[in-house]
Amino acid sequence: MAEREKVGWFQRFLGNIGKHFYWWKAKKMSALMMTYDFLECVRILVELNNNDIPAALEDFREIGKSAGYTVATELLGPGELIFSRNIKDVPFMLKVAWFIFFGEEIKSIKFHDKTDTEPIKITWTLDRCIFCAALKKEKELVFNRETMKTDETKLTYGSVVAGAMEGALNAILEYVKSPYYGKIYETKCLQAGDPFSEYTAYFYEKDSNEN
Amino acid sequence: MWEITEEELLRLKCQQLFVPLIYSEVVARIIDRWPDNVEKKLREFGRRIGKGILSMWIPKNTDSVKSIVQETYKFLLKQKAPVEMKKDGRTLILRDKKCILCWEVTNANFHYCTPYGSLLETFVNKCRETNPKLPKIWVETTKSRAKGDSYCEHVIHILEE
Repeated sequence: MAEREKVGWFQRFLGNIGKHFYWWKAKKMSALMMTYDFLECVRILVELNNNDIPAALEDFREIGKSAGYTVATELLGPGELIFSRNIKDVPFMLKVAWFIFFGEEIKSIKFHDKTDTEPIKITWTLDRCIFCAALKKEKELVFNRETMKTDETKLTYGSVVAGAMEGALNAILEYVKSPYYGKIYETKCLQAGDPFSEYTAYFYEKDSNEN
Repeated sequence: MWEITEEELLRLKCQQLFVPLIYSEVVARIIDRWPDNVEKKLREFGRRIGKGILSMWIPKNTDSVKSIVQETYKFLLKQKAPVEMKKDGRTLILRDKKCILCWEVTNANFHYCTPYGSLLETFVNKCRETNPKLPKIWVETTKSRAKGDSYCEHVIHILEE
């Protein structure tokens, strides 16, 4: 079952119903609490990294990866119903996972074939981003393209979210025995001056030296 | 800009799932770097969260310490806060059997939910600005699932009337 070659209409139907069930069933908290909890985690990591914001965000990204992998591993059993090995089904699986994790629909998601310069990638944008909401009133820490060194490091304030999705994605890709592994970055971030939030998943063949 | 508004943020809920996983990793780093100051760091963590949240939300019912604690728990953690007053009339006890911060942590040397105690302390003491009849309080976290107890306990000491 885990090695299904392609997701069909029934799996899509199950995924679209199932994500609402999992979201409904999940223990929840106020988004306000979550956003301030994350801000304080970042503050601690910045202090631990001697005020080096990119180092703190990298640390946060790694923590996210581990958390995402753990969460996805626990959901692999029921998730099997909608998984496939086909890389073109990943947008569907990401949409379901995103909704289960964050309760928000991804409105726009695109699959991009491999080019001469870039690996296979999937990009998705969000209508709104709750993760950095606490920063509106933050006075001590400044997160922008310069302080996060986004152009060099690809790190953003949403790095923990990108990490969590990357961890979850790789747990699924391993489970379906996909020949690919993924890396996810927030490629547009409000804090970095972009007009909206966008995430990109890059896919590399396990045996290649692409990355 | 697609930034979220304060009104939207107050309305939205999110999964608890990632919070304890991420928090426990951060606490592990705190223990590693500041082994002698863990409690102080965790109290500061909760105070800062409280201060931040208070800039956007404040309990509506500030009649008593109990009502503030219950409303805060309900709004932020989406759960009931069983609070009872001790016979001395100067101590309230909050027992939490579903603590998120202590989720799956066992045999810890610290109460992982210490931030909730300092968060509640920050909330109640801030509400004194709008209701001067409220007493000043101090919250001590005395039991936690992380430390092996069957529930987490925050003791709310009333310091003055």
